[in-house]
Parts: sequence; structure tokens; C-alpha cells
Amino acid sequence: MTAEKEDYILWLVLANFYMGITMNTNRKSHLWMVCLAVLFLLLLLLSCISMQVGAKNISPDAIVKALFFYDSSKSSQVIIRTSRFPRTLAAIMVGASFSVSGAIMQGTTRNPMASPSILGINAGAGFGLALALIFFPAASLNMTVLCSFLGAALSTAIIFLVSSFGRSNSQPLKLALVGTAITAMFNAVSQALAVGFKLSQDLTFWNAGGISGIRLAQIRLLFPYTLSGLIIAFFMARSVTILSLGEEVAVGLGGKTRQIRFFSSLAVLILTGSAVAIAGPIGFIGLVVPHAVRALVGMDYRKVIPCGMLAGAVLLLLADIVSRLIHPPFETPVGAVTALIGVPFFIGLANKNRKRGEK
Amino acid sequence: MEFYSQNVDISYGKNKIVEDLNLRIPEGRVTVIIGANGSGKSTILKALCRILHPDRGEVILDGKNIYTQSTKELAKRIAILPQSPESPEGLTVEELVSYGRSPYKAGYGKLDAQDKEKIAWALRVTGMTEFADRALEQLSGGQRQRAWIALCISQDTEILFLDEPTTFLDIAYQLDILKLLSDLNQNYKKTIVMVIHDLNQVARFADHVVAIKKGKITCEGSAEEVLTPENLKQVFGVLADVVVDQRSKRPLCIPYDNIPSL
Repeated sequence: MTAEKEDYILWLVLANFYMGITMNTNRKSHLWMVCLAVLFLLLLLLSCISMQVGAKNISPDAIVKALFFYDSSKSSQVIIRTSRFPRTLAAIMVGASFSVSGAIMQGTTRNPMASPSILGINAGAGFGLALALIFFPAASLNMTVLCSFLGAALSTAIIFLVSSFGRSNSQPLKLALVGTAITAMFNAVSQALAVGFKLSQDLTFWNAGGISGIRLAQIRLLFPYTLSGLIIAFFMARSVTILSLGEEVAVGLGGKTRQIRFFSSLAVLILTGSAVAIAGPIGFIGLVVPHAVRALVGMDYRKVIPCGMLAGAVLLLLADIVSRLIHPPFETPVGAVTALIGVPFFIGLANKNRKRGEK
Repeated sequence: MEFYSQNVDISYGKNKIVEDLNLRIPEGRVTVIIGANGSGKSTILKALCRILHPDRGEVILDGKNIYTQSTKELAKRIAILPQSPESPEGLTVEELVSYGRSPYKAGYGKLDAQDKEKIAWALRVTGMTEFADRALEQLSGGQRQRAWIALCISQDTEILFLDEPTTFLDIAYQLDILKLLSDLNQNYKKTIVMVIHDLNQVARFADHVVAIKKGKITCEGSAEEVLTPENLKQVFGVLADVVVDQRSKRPLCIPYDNIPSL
């Protein structure tokens, strides 16, 4: 038996043990911990698969050796070290970032359609990135990430400005329209710049959304951003639920609404900005995952954010694995795979809201 | 407890909505603010409970201006039920009510035994215990309003503000909600401040009535003092007969015409 299989069994036992405890106490209120445990197991499982499969399948044995006893003369270990391992980590970080951003945005704006892609934050980050490619072609990754943040911040600012005019309480349509307009505008400008400065190829590749070319150095650089964004998100979780009850109720419950908005926007900026900088605007994870998670664990963002983080990572890992398997040895852009999952879901969601409105 | 506003001015853009408001809220009583649509009564209610910040003036609770106090500390003393609040989809009654404990919580906000006790109490008093696990959207309008009131009282405050708590409810539910509030006032010593429209309900449930016209107090006092034909003419622009309700011995207003426009 390999070390890895032992790991699987150990985790299964632990999870069962844990579920046993939770089932005996309060089943309903602990359901989310079961979700968390299952998602965590899925994450481990998919991480292993993600390292194994691709143009060349690699044995578990080689994976373990590559991670712990690296021998650069073996090609399969080199593939793991330089490609599969970084992209697995990237899928986890990026998936978690988009999903948590989406959850926070949906909670604070009380808008079921809010997500980094729908509200134009992805496009803003992309615009920042295009500027970086043009004006600082030799820039470090750090600089690029910073530009991506600034772009994301710009579109967030526009969204908040526009949506604060008039009666601000939950206008799903208005926010979605503004987001679409922002997306169209930033994309148009980015494309014009790309054509003008002959960057089309770079930008197109990046726009398709992908984590296939990621190197460990990039992961190392972005990890602090992702981590700090997630930490802020965890701290804001309770406040996000309070704000999701509506502005006036939130004030009545002692919520500092401005502060909540500021810190949750900050978390969204950091998470979306860094995720877009490494992976491009991968759509739909931020929209789909929070909905699925809320359907499972309910409305409380103290549960939604941790579960959403794992679920987003799981979904992107899965999408990335699928993208490798559709047409090997070529890779389908992962953004296309998530869109394939996301579009039907989005249409379903829009329909559901319409029925609700008619009622 | 001492609670009053001092020289409060509020404007939206260039329109002055409320001017120089000096209003005292009596402790342990039910105060109802009445007035025509657009008179500023809702605005006044919002200013008193810090949802709106005025351009000028102060609202003083026990010697301290509420606008400069920690909003979380105030949430232990003042609960607010806004007009027709909308709950996020999928929230259960018990989850909603548990958020009433948030002024007492920091960080992750795990509920302790005392919190659970308060939540159970709030559900019991409002008669929502059997619906605790239902999602809010599955409830009728009246039950939903009870759930929101349960949220406010699990906050364990001495003062409760409600903006039109009976709007959109049928008469049976209106009475049901007002009786519940009256019970909270009498048996749990809550000071209640609210806006309601139906003058006969005002007459029955209010200890103290404040009539507002164009952002100013026209008159205030007991229902008998405020609900007179002259005042109704001035505040609402209606001609009305006011008789004594034989059952409750309170005034009963029967408007019969608008004041003919000049």
C-alpha cells in the first residue's frame, strides 16, 4: 500500500469519526461541518488526481517523490514540480478567492447576481493588467498584481458610486446592468490598447482564463495576498450576514455599516485582484458556488464563507482537470469549462428570480 | 431612562424635511407618531434611532448624544424594526432571531447559554416557537412580522422602534401585532415608539400621540387630547367626527370629507 492510499484511509476514518460526533449532537446545525469535512476530502482527492492526470499520467509514487525527495533528472518529477503542483495550488487559491469574493458581494449587496465577473471587477482587473503590459512590459509580477488590484478597485469604486445613487436597497437589475456596462467598457478599452500596442495574443490568452502556465514563484508571490484576503473575509463573515438583512436592520443590530462595506470591499479587491492577476477573469465560480453553498448550509456567512472557500477550490480543480482531459494533449481554457458549468446555472437563477418577482 | 431630541434639523438635498424638532419620549409608554404622507414622521423615527443623522441637533439618551456613541452599545438599548424589511432567501426564523444577539457578540459570535435562553424567550413571547425551523419566505405576512419582532426583542433592549409595523397586513394580523406590542409594553416594560396610520388603532394602543405636519410637531399628548376634529383638520386636512368608542372608551375618528381646497 502506498503512503498516499494510507492517507486517504486515515482521512476517511477521521471524517467518519467526526461525522459520528456531530450526528449525535445537533444534526441540523452541524450539517455545515459535515459539508466542510466532505469538501475538504474532495479537495484532497482532486488535488491528488490533478497531480496525476494530464498529457502524461504520473504515478502516485513519483508525485510523493517529486514533492519530498525531488530528483530533477526524472522527467515525471520535473513535470510535477514545475507544472502540476503549481497549477494545483493555483486552482485551489484562485477558486477559493473567486468564490469567497462572490459570496461576500452577494451578501453585502443583497444581490443574488453579484459576483466579480458580473459586476465588472474582473474586467477592471483585466484593464489594469493590460495597462501594466503596455507601460511596464518588463515589470515584475508584483507590479502586475498591483495594476490588477488598481483596475479592480476602479471598477468597484464605479459600482459603489453608481449604485449609491437613488434608493440603494438591493436593485439586482441595476447593479447587473452597471456591471455589464463596466465590463463592456473596460474590455473595449483593453482590446483597443491590445490592438494598438500589438499585445492581442498575450491578452487573448490571458483573457481565456488559465492556470496551466503557472510557476511556483508566482504562487509564492500571490499566496500572502490570497491568505490576507481570506483572513479578512473570515473576520467579516458575521458582519456580512448582518448587512445581508438590510442596511437599516444592520444599524439596529449595532453593525457599523460603512466599516463593514469597506472591509468587505477590501477583501473582494485583494482576492479578485490577485486571482485575476494569475489566472485571468475566470467567470462564474464567484456566481455559482455561493448559491450552491447557501442551498446546502443556509444563509449564515460564518458557514457560507468557509464552505464556499473549499467548494470554489474544488470546482476550479475539477474544471482544470476536465480542461486537460477534453482533448489531450491540448488544453481547453479552464475559463471555458467553468462557463460551460456556469451558464445554465445563471439562466436557471435568472428564471427563478423572475418567477419570484411575478408572485 | 431619559430620551429626547434637541433642535433636530433634517434635510434631503435642499428640502428641509424636519425643522427644529424637540421631542421627548416618555419611558415605559407606547408613543405613536402620526401625520400625513410626506409629513416627515418616518424621517423623525429614523433620526431618533440613528438610522439617519440629522444636519443639526442632538438626540439624547440618558445624557449622551446617540450620534456620537458606539452604535453597538446603543444596539443593547434600542432595537429597530424598519418598514417592511426583506429577509435573504432561505433564512430560518431561529437563525434570524439569533442575530438579535449580535450587539453582545464579538468576532465569530458563538452563542452561549444566556443567548440561547433569550432567543427561546423571544420566540415564545411572539408565539413563533413552533415555526423556529421554517424559512421566512414560507410564512404568512403576519407570522413573518412576528419573526422580525422576535429578532428585535431577542436584542433585549429597553426601547423598541417600529416603522409602520402593520402596513401590508390584513386587519386580523394588524390587531394581532398591535396586541403583541401592547403586551411587550405592559408585561416587559418596553418603551415603544412607532409610526402607524390607522387613527382608531392609534386611539386604542397609544399612550402618547405625536402629530407631525411639515416636519414640525403640531400637537402631542394623550389620544383624547390629540385626536380632536380641529387637530385632524389641521394635521391631515380632513373633516371628521370624533365619538367615544363604547367598548374601549377611547376616541373613535370617522373622517367624512377632505377640506375643500380654496
